[in-house]
Amino acid sequence: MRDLISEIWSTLRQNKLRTTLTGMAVSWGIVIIIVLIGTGNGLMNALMNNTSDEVQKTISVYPGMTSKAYNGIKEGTSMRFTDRDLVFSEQFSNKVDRASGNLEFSDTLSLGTETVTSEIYGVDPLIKDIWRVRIVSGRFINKSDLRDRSKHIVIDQNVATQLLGDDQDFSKLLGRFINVGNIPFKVIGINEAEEQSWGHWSYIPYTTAKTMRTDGAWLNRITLEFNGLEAKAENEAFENAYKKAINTFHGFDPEDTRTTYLQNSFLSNQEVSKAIRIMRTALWILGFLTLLSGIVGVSNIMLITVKERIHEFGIRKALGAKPMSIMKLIVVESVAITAFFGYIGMVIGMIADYFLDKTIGSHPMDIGFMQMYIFKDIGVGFDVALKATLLLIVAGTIAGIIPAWKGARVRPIEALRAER
Amino acid sequence: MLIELKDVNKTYFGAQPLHVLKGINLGIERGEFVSIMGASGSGKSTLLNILGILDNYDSGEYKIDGKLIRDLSEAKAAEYRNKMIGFIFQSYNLIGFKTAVENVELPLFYQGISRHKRHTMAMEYLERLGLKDWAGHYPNEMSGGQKQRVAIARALVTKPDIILADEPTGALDSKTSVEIMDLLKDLNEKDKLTIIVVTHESGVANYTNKIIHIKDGVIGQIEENRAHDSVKFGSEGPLK
Repeated sequence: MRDLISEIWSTLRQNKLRTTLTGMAVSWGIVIIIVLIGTGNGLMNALMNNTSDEVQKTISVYPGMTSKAYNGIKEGTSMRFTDRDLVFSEQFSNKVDRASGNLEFSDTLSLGTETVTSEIYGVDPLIKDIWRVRIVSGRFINKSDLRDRSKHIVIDQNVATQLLGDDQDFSKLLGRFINVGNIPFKVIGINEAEEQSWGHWSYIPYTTAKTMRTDGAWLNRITLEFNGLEAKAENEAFENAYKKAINTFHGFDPEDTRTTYLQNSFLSNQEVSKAIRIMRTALWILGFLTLLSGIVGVSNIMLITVKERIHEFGIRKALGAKPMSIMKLIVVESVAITAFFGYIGMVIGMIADYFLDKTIGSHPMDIGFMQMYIFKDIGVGFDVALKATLLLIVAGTIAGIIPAWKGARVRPIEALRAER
Repeated sequence: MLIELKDVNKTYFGAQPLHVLKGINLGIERGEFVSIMGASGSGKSTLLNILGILDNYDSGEYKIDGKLIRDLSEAKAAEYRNKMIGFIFQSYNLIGFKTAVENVELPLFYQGISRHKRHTMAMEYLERLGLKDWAGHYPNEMSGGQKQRVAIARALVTKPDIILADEPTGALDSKTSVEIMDLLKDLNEKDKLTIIVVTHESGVANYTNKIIHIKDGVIGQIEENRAHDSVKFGSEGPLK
């Protein structure tokens, strides 16, 4: 191997300029691949809101209105969910593990003289995953909060900053009591608020919210945690059956589809991951095509090299070089060029990703009514770097094989007779 | 008999088929120093290529040390060339980007000999040919005579059965030509090497002990030349 490397080194030194120019085509190809995949990842990360964990299978049920008169009930009658619907939903099918509700209202939060109006969401702990609430300090509502009807509240950074005054670190609010209306709540967690530019969202346990709304407010949403239902068709059949059953339960037309709106996290996750898969494949193909032009360049140069070295190969053959050893010489040279320059390209590509992440990846874009991240965490993982390296070696081999075969095939007398 | 050719025929098929070797019969014993002489177009180069297993022949038999050389795969032919034949070319055929010692090492590399041992062996032969101090030089830093001596070292380093020299003095001046021929003669006498020189110069042929004349693809006269008087020295100049 050492001999082979020193052989290749000495021949590469012969043609420094040509080797470098050829290599740059490969470097460029790899830079393109890494930047494309890196920004593609950034786009997808932003799309998935940076949460790639497996989300619990849930169906969110939102109330609607009847779309036609039925059995004495007028068109336009609102669906109103109560705790009875939670019990009904849990008993509806053994596929439903649990049903929980959301109770939402708005109120004034106050600390001393500072006040903020916020939406108050009485929620179940599982909402954290469904809404992808990101806690920056403290924790979210948990099961014991729910059980104990704790007066605990999770507020967002903006609310915290406004309550404390601008120059204060929001995390100082953790553990302190603020008033919701006139009831004191302990701040147990602070969540990131960057995704929405206005509107304040605070979370309290569902059970606590219920005690505050004795006037009998309706549930804004029911969340069903379910099991099984792997296929899309199964999910749809389940959803239809559920709609019919709950319509019947409320005395509505079973066939009325407007009374409830269902959102299936499992199915929408599937859709998103399908879109991401397609996007990722498309990016690889684009990158690969770019790399291909680099490979063709290397292959061409290797062909010229072989032609120039035909006399030398003749000498080597006369001295006892087997076709295989000539072939190896050329292929390894080709792999060496692609791997070396490809590696350089990979490093440049990763640096480019790093700068992109620090610029467009770190600043939300203003799209008029709100700010949002188009890119998030631009960059490639170790696995992509590894795949790209493998791709390079394969590419180098492919680029070398045709020239190598030509070099190995030429008969020694013809090679010796060749012009030098 | 080290080399045995029986009725060897070779035709080049082109637009006009060319029957270059028309039934060559030839035997060369181990330790002989012979020359094959002929004008250009006589078939001597083709014969040399066949002897060197660089080319195939159409019919007949060619045996080296009893081994039939026919229809070999490229890899097998390369192996035989490496082990049995040492080549000396008119144009030296050294590899330009390798130093003298690396050039001499090359056939040993193809035998799979270790780096260190290869170097030692190559240095040994360079020293014998008086080129020890030139081991690290590249061919373009050497004179024609030095280059040819590197090539001879390279041909000798594998201890082959046969040394094939194709116009070994063709690119050298007459003084250096004499030196190279003396060297080959010496190798034959002292090391009992079998040397076949292909040439069109009678002065070169006169150094050998046997001169085989080839004309129009057939062996003509085979001349014993122990006395080295086949051509009066100086009748065509010392060698040219």
